[in-house]
Amino acid sequence: MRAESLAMACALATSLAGLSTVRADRSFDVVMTKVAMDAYGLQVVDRAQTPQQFEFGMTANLGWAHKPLRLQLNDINMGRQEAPFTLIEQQVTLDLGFYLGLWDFLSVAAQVPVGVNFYDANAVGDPTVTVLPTTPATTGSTMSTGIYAGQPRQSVSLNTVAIRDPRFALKARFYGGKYFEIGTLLEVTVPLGDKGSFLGDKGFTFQPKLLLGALLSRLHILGSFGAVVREPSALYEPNPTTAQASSPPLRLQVGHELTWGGAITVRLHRVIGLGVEAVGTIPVSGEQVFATGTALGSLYLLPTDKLRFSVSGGGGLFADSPRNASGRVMVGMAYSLLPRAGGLL
Amino acid sequence: MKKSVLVSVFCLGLPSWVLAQEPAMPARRSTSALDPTYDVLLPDPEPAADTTAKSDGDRTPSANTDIDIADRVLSAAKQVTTVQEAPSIVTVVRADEIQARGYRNITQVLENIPGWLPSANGGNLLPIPMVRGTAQAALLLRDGVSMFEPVTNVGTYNRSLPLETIKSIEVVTGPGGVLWGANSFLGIVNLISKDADDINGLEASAGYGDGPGSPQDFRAYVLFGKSFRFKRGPKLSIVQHVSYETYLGPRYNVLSSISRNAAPSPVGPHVYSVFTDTNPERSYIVNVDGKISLGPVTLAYSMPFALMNTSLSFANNPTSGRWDTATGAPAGEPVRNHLQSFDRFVTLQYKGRFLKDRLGLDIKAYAVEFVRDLDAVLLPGSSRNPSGTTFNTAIRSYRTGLTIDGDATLPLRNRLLWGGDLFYEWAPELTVQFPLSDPKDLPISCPLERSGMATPVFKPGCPLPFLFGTNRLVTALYLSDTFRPVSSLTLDAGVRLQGGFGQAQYNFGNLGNNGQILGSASLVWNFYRDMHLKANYASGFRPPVFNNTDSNGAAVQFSGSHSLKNERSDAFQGEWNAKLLRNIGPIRALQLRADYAYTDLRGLIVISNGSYTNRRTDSNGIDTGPGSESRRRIHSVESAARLFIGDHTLSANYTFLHITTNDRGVLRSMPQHSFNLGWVLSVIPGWLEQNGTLIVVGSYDDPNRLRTISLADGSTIANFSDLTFDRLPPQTILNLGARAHFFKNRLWASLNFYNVLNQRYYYPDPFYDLAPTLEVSPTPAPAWSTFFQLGGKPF
Repeated sequence: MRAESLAMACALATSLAGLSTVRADRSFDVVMTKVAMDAYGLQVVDRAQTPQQFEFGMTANLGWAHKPLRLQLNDINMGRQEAPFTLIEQQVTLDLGFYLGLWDFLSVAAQVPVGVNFYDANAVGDPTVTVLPTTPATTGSTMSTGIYAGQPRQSVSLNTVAIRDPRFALKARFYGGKYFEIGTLLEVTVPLGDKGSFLGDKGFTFQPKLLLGALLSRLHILGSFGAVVREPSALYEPNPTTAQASSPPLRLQVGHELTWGGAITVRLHRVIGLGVEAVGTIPVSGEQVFATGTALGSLYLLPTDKLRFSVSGGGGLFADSPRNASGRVMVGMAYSLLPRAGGLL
Repeated sequence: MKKSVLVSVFCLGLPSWVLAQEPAMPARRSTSALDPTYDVLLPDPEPAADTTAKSDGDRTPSANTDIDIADRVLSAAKQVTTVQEAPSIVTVVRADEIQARGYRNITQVLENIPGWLPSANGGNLLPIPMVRGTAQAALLLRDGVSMFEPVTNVGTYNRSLPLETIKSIEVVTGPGGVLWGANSFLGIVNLISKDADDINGLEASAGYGDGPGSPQDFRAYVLFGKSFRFKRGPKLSIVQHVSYETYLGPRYNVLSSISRNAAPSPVGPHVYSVFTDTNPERSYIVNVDGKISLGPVTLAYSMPFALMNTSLSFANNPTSGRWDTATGAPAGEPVRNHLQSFDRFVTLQYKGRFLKDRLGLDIKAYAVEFVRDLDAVLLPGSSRNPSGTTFNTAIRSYRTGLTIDGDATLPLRNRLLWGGDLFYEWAPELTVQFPLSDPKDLPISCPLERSGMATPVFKPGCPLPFLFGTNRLVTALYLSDTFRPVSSLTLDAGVRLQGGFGQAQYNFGNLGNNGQILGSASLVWNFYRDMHLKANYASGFRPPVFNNTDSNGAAVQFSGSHSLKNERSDAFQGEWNAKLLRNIGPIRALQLRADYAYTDLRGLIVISNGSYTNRRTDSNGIDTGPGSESRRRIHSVESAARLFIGDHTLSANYTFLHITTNDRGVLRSMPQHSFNLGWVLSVIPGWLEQNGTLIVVGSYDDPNRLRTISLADGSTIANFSDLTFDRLPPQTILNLGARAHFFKNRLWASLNFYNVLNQRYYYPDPFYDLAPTLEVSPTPAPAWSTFFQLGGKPF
C-alpha cells in the first residue's frame, strides 16, 4: 500500500512536471522558408548542381515575414474564451551560409540562421505583472501572464533576437547532364537555436532531400522531395479554463514532416532572371498538426558570373496553418569565388 | 551569503573584488626546427608590415609569408616562436586584424577568442572578461610588464586602452605561472605596442558614433612614429600618441532599488521602485603615451586621465539620480557613477645579446600607478530616499620593481631561459565617504565629530577606512629549458620560485610559509608536415589581493584576513593544430586548432560568514571545516579555424565549457557552448572591405531574486527566499562594418555597426551565488551602436 502510494505520487509528480514542460514548449522554428544551402540553389529551393572542386562561396539572405505565427489561445481578458492571437507580428531573418566543393559532385555547406521576432505583447504577456493590494493595509502579489503562465517563474522575458538552429549539409550530384540533373541534400540541424522563442527545434533534426532538375536552355524546372525527422514538440494552452485545467487543449504540434519544393526559373538576359518558387511541408505525425506552403516570385540579378542578387516576395498558401506567414519578402546574395560556367542561375 | 571566488563584497552591498590569475608555459621559437636560433624578447625580426601604400593586390607575392608572420608569438614563451609550436594555447590578434574587424576595445577582441567570454560586475561599472568561465583570472601585460592591480584585481579591459597603438595582442589561454609569475592564473593578455618603424610617419583619425549601446561617442587620435639614424651612434626611435574620447554610458531602462540589505549585512528583502532610465554624466578619456628608444634602451610611458562614468551600479541599479518628489520621477540631472580603471606607468627597458648571440638579456625597470577611483550609486533616488545614496573612495595603489629575463644557448640542443622579478607594491589607507547621506541614516557605525555629547554628532559624510594601508614585497626566480632531441620534437620544462613578504605576505605557500613553487612541462611534436600535437602541464597561482587581506570589515566591506592562502591553478592541456590546403585553387591556407584542457582551481577565495576563506562552504554559506578547499574543475574544448581564400579571410571559433565546483555542483551560470564567425571580405580589392562578426553564446542560468510581493505604492519586494533560476536565452550578436581605402591607404574611412540586431542580452554571472545578494538580477549588456571613422596617414 505504501509502495503504491509512493508510485502514484511519483506518477503524479512526473505527469505534472511533464505537463509543465509541454505547456512551455516553444521549441520549433516558425521560419518555413529555409534558404538554399549554396549559391546554385535558388532563394529557397535547392538545386542538384554542386559546386566544382574547391569552389568556395557564400550566401547571405535577409528575410521579412508578416504574422508568421498565429494560434488559437484562450483570452484571459475575455473570460478565457478561445480567440485568434498573432504571437509573432513580424519576423526578420538573416541567414549566412558558406559552402565548399570537395569534388565535382560533392560539396559541404553550412548555414547560420538568425531570427528577430516582434511579438504581440498582448498575446505573449509578461513574466512579472504587479497585482496591487486591494487595501493599503495588505500586500499584493506578482504574477505571470500570457504564455509565461504556468511556467517556472522568470524575471526575463522572451528573447527577441536569437540564433536559429545552424544547418550543415552534404550535397551530392548523382547525374548532371545537359537536360537533366539529380542529386541529394543531406541536412542536419544542430539544436543551438533558441527553443524558448520559436526559433529552434528541440533536438537535432535530419532533413534529407531528393533534388531534381530539368534544364531546358534558359528555362529550369526544379523539384525537391524530402522529409524532416525531428523530436516532436507540442504547445498546450498556457491559460486553460478551470474545466480545461486537468487537460489543457493542444494548440500546436510539430513532428515529423514531408517536405516538397518546386521552382521554375527563366533567364531573360545575361544579367536578369525570373522565377517562381514554392516550398511546403506535410505533417506525418501528431494530432494538432498543419500542412504549410509558401510561394514566392523572384527576380535574380547577376552582374557577374560570381555574384547573384535576388529579391523575392510572396506569402503563405494555407491560411489556416499557424505557421503561415501572410506576407514574406526575401533579399539574397550569393557569391562564388570560382563558379561553374554559366554562373549562378 | 557565500560568494564565489572572485568576489569580495563590501558592506552596504558594495562588492569588492577578489581576484587573481596565473601562469603560462615555456616555449621556443622555430623558424626551422633544425635551426634553433632564438630571439629573447625581441620583437619580430620584420616589423609589422606598414599597410600604408600597400594595396590588397600587393598581398599576392608573399601571401603565405604574411600568414606565417601573423603566427609569430612572443609571450607564450618569452621568446619568439609560432602559434603552432608554442608550448601553450596561444592566439594572436594583429593590428591589421583589429582594424579590419572594426574592434574598438579590448573586450571586443577577447570575446572573439576561443575560451573567452565578456562579463561585467557591479552593474557595468567594470568589464571583466572571463577565461574558461572564470573572472579576474587573466594577467594583463603591456609590453611584458604586469598591469595586475593589487587592491581589487580589476584590469583595464575598457576604452582606456588605445588599440591604435597596439601592434599585436597575444593571448595565452591557460595558466602561465612559471614564466609570468603570480596572477597569470588562467590566462595572459599581452599588449605589444607598435614601434616607430611600425608607424613610420604620422597617422590621425577622428570619428563619431551613436546609438543606445554607446551614445554620443567622439574619439580622435594622433600617432607619430619615426626612427632616426645618425652617422654615428645608435638609432633613435620615437613614438608619440595622444587620443581623446568623450562619450555617454550605454542607455538602459531598468528597475531601481528603494532599499536592499547588501552584504555583508544579514540578508533581507530587496525593495524595488519602478523602471527608470539611466542618465550618467558624460565621460572622457585622454591618453598620452609613447616611447623613446636609443639603441638597446627604451623608455616607455603612459599617462591617461579620465572620467569614466557608467550607466549601472551595484545590483544593476540605474544612474537615475535625484528623485523629484513634485513630479514623482527622476529630476533628470546626470549622475556621476564610476569605478575608474586606468594605469599610469613608466618603464625603462634594456635589451642586448652577447657572445655571438648565445646569451640574451632583457631588463625592465618600471613604476605603475593603478587608478581605481570609486564614486558610485548605492541606491538611486526614490520617493522614500529622494537624494539617493552614493559613496566614494579613491582606490590607488602602486608598484615599482625590476624584471630580468635572459636566454642562453646550451650544448646538446638545449636552450635555457632564466630570469626573475623583484617588486614592491603598496596601497595607502583608503577612506570611504557617503556624501549624500545623513550619517545617522546609514546602517553602519559612523565616526563621531566629538564624543561625550548627549546627542551624537557624526562627522559629515561618514568617513571610514575602506582599506588599511598595506604592502607586499615579491621576489621570484625561474628557469625553463627547451630541449630538441630531434628536429620534430620539442620538450620544455620549467620551474619558478616566488616569495611574498611584507604586511600582505604569502601564507601557507608550498615552499616555506612565504614561498610558492610552480612547475610546467610540455611536449610539441611536429608529427606531419604543418601539423603539430601539443601536450602540456601548466600551473599558476593567485595571491589574495589587498582587498582580501586588509579591507576594513567594520565599514562597508567583508573583513580582510591575513591567513588566506594563495589560490592555485593546474591545467593539463592537449592541442592539435594544422595548416592545410595551402595554395589549392583560390584557397591560400586553412588553419585549424582544437584543444582540450582539464583545469583544476584550488583554494579559491570565497566569502563565508562575513569574511574571506579558501575553504568550501555549504549552500548556507557555512564553512565546512578545515581540510576542504574550495575547488573548481573545468573541462573545456576550444577550437578555431581560419580560412584565407583569395583576398578574403573567414574565421570560426567554438568553445565548450563544463565547470563543476565542490560546493555548488555544476556552474550553470556559464554557457556550455559558444561560437563565433568572423569575416573580412574584399568587395573591391584594394578599395573596399566588408567585415562582420557573429557571436553566438548558448543559454545559461542565472540565480536571481524574484519579486513576489507588491505594495500599494507600486513598489515590489523580493524576499531573500524568493529565488529563481533565470534561464537566460542564447545570445546572437551581429556586428557589421565596411572600410574603404583611398590613395593607397593614405586615407581611409570605416563605418561599423555593433549589435546590429539589437539583441537584448545579459552577461553570464561569474558569482553564481545561490542566495543572491550582490547580483540579484541579470546584468544587461549594451544595445546597438554605430561608429564612423575617418583617418589618414599624410606622412
